[in-house]
Amino acid sequence: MKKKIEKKLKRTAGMFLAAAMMTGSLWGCGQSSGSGSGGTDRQEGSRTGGNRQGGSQSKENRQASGTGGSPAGAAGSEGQAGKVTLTFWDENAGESRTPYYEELIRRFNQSQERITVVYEGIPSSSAKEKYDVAISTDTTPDIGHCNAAWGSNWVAQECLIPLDQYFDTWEEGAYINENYIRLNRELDPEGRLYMITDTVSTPLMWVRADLLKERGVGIPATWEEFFDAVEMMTDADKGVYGFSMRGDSSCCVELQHVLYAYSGIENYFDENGICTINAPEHVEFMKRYQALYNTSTAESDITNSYKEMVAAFDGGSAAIIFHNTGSASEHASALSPEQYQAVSFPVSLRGTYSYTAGSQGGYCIFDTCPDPEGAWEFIEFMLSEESNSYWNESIGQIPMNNKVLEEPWVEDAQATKEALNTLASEKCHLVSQPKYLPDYSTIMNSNNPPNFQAMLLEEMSVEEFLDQWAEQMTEAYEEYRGSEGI
Amino acid sequence: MGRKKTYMPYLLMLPTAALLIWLLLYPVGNVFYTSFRRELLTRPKQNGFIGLDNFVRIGTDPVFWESLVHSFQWVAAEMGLQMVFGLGLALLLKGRFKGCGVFRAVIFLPWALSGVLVSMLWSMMYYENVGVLNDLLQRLGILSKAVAWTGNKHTAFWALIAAELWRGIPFFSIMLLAALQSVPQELYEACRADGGGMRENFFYVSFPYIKETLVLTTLLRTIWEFNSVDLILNLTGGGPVHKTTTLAVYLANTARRDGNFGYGSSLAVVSFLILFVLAGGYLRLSGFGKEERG
Repeated sequence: MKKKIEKKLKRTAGMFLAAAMMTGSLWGCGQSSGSGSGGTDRQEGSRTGGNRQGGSQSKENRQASGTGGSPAGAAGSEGQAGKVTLTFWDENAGESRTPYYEELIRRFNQSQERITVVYEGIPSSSAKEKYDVAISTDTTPDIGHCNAAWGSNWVAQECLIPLDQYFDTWEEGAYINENYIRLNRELDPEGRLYMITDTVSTPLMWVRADLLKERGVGIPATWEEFFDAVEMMTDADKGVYGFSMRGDSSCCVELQHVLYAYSGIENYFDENGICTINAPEHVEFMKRYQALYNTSTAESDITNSYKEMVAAFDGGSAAIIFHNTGSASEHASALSPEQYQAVSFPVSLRGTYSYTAGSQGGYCIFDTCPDPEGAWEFIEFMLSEESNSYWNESIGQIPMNNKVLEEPWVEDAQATKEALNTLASEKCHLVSQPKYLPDYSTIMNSNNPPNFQAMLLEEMSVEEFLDQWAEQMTEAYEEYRGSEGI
Repeated sequence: MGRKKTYMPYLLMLPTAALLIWLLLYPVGNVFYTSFRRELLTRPKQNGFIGLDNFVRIGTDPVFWESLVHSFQWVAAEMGLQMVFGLGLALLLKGRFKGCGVFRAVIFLPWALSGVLVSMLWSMMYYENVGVLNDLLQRLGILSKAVAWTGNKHTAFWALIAAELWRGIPFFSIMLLAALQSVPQELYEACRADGGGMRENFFYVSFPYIKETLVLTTLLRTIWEFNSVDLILNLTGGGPVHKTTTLAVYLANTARRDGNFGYGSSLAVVSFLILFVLAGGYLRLSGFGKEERG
């Protein structure tokens, strides 16, 4: 009996000590996070909140810095001589971008003595998850380049610094494409600016001009010609197809561009707030598009991602693909200029050139940044005429600094020229994609791609697929308008 | 002085215990806690306690039930095939022959490769237009048209099974070979002296010796396979149309891609409970450890 009691005592004491030690270590963590924050309230607020909702005080602090607040609060994180090292994350790292970023960052670091920017590249396939984890754990970079579709989530999580004051007082800001500044403001219900777009990739068709020429098929100028060309270019026995489509999580993003380009419908939501993605014109297009699968496309297209689609095009097993100007550098590295061509989407059923505002990425400053002024200095440098020109010429996309549009290389870059000509056309109009909806990414990248695959396999009708998509968007829009009191 | 001696082992264990609590119990507890909350990255302002709502949703979620069925199919197919081939390979490798060391090393190689690398290798082999598998089968006249192994709804699941099998068999072989090598040779000789053949040798000598290893290895692999995501995510992403979505893949996509940590945590809790019941039942039925205690 005595032994038993002794055993119990030992166990209790052991557990007590373990618990005490654990509590001690947690206490230690809490202490270090407080002291390591450089004395700012922001980090403390967001940690105690358990998530990025943070406290109201932390929000005020962020807004203070956004409105040109002094960097004094950040002084504790800077070196003794006022030097600061800022981390920059690229959400789409790879051979076609990283070397140019590294070169620009090298130029920036050499151009002044106070700030050192460090580049960290993340593969696009896992970028959002990495950012999400970083936001949840307060380990975000100081500056991030990100996809606009993530922007509204981040604004809701209050992890970004508003850039209005910086932008408004920047002299060269007048030359930055105002349409995209407007689209970026749409990410925030209050219309604040959290992201500055530096480059735009416009959706279009990539055509293997050499393969079409071999078969005597002309470059498609109408939608009818497109479907005819796809059929004529297909030789399934030889593993050559007229078209390659995407079936991965980005398939609906790609599809959305094409649907509006075909129909010419100008608004994503009608006057009653109903999504127009299931319009009869879109149903008509989708039926023809569905019929291409596994006859004029490879069967594996159903799970194709970007890399497989581009590989099929560059390797000659697909004659036409839908993508945007962003893949220009990939084609340029695999093919000679006369082998391929960027072709704008044909004129729509309404006789217009209809473009969904293309993938916009942009720079933002996270609220973990100890020196937002320094971070903004870097963004200014990246958007300056010289850097924006170098960047966009290298990656083959459309510059956002309007001064660059007058440079000779723009005339010589076929894809960029093609996109700019169409965008400048009087018949062209932009359809605004509702990237400000908190559920936008989930609807586009999670909910509907399996339905798209089911539709290709004829397990779901075209009407069902588009109706479900429209229903989800309408519901999300209604909720958004309700929550924002619009 | 005596009391100090008595408490010393516990004091020495404290750092390990604290680490286990910090790195294991706390995260697991946090998953249970989060499963009762709405934790959605896209709507941080609405996050909060929602009781059993996530679990109620699981009951009516068709993707959950589909993925659960796929998980059971995945585990059953992998376990059955890995065990049979792994045991066969271990019995072959037990014998001593020229170059057996090299042969063993080659056989065990897939186990040493990372999941992502294995996915890339198989992705290239399965590629519809330039993949070696289609090329080989077409040259042999077995196929007239290239097959989209990971894109076709009828072949995708089995294409993944084959790839995972290639990676998993060596683990069984390693474990069972080690157990087989511990069987005293005299027992085989005694069996032969009693007129026993190969079958008797296996069932009356080898099997009792490797039984514990077999039970443990099967249990470990069941848990690993149930939670396996790397190969599936890399080769098909769970598609086409959820045809290769297992519970672990669904969980990963829900939490990681969709940022829905609340619902993802409730899926993890359900997954944990299923495995807990399966593992407990399996150990009880197999009588694991009874012989040692006896």
